[in-house]
Amino acid sequence: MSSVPGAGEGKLRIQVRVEKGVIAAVALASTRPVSACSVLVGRRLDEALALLPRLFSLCGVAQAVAGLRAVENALGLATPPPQAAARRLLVTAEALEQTVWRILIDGPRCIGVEPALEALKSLRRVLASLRPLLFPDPVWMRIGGARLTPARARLNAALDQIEHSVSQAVLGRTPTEGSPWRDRDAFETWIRTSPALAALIPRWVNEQGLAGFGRGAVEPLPETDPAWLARRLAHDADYSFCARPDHAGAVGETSALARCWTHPLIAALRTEHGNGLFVRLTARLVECAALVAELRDQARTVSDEHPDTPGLENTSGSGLGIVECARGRLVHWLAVAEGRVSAYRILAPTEWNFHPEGPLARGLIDAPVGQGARVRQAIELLVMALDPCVGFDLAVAEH
Amino acid sequence: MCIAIPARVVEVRETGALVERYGERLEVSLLLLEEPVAPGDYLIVQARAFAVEKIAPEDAMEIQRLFDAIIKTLPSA
Repeated sequence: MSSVPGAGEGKLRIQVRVEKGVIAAVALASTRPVSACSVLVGRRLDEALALLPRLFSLCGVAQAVAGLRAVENALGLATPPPQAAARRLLVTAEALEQTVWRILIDGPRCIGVEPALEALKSLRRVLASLRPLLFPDPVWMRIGGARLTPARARLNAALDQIEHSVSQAVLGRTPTEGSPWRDRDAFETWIRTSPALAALIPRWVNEQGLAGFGRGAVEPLPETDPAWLARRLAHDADYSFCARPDHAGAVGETSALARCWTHPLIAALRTEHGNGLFVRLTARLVECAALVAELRDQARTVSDEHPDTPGLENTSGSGLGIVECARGRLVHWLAVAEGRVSAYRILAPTEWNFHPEGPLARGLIDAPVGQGARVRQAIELLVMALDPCVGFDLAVAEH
Repeated sequence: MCIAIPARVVEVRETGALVERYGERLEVSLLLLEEPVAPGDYLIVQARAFAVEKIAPEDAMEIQRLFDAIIKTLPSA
């Protein structure tokens, strides 16, 4: 093993210049190794798929499912609906864990409040119990589908526990008390009065006058034509599109906020705060409840299945796999020649959201932010709300 | 892309551990882990601050070999 401090994972470098309390310049650079997936080239398909969740272990389920979809599309294999539902359930569970992490750990750390580690730990425990309740065999990411035998009663009990844990830990109330976002007034009252960590951070943002901080003109990334995306990725041998993507020349946002863009509460709050910090933090709360509901929806669709293993020798083709994960839209594309990976590309949501023309950069430029320690706190909260999949260094120069 | 290089435990402390990967040492919390940790174990670390998974040494070695290959492809290597 070579000795290269900080190498491999890469990081974002965010440089900001503040003049008279306003952000006058922003520079974003990334050392993330977008070509890391090239180590899969030359490997058998099952071997490459097994490596995906190990290489990209912080969202390993989403990476594995995106890879599986890409392989199955390349081979012309339809994914049976129960398999698709079971995979989606696991991706949703992973997204829920990451979403709650932002709320209970990262948000509090940004404003100097003790994070709720025990609450996250107990939620992680029950989320981790889901996979064996669906797939009895440890290797669940099989091409064409794995043996699926949902333990329905235990699955429902686990989902009840997840709903209760999320409601208690995030909202500070039981599921029977309902969500605090029936309407804008009810939500704003809850933000002002609840002792829950999920209310504390938006309340702090309001009190600091940062509710609209980071608002910018970048719109949610629209649905992309799969054929267009596949063409762009197929011709991206130097990974330049994966590093700095665009859609018809424009940069879009793909995130919790992008997914909740038209939710009634989010739409109402956007009229006042745009896509600034308060709306971003609220979107994560709304998404939390949506993910719990999604777990239930997928659980209703799973059923027993014992798919055959398709022959993989001498197969050829190319395919795309798209998965909505915690941080946004994750896209895998691969080409297969004689049963082995001949090219692989991954387009991750961080490349849209932290693009030099993306929502962070556009949201920071010209933003009034004040002075001193508050500048760093505000920017770190905005970065946390946009949720990069790597660490970041922030340099602030004040004049 | 959520890449995580396994980190080797150098020293276990009261609620955390000193870990090392590619010559870089980090102090990480063990509070999210379910299982006990000892020096020489390998951990997956999130946000450079929290150990989230303990993995088998042979898996850690395999992942590190992959990262060695990835690092060789990077422009600064």
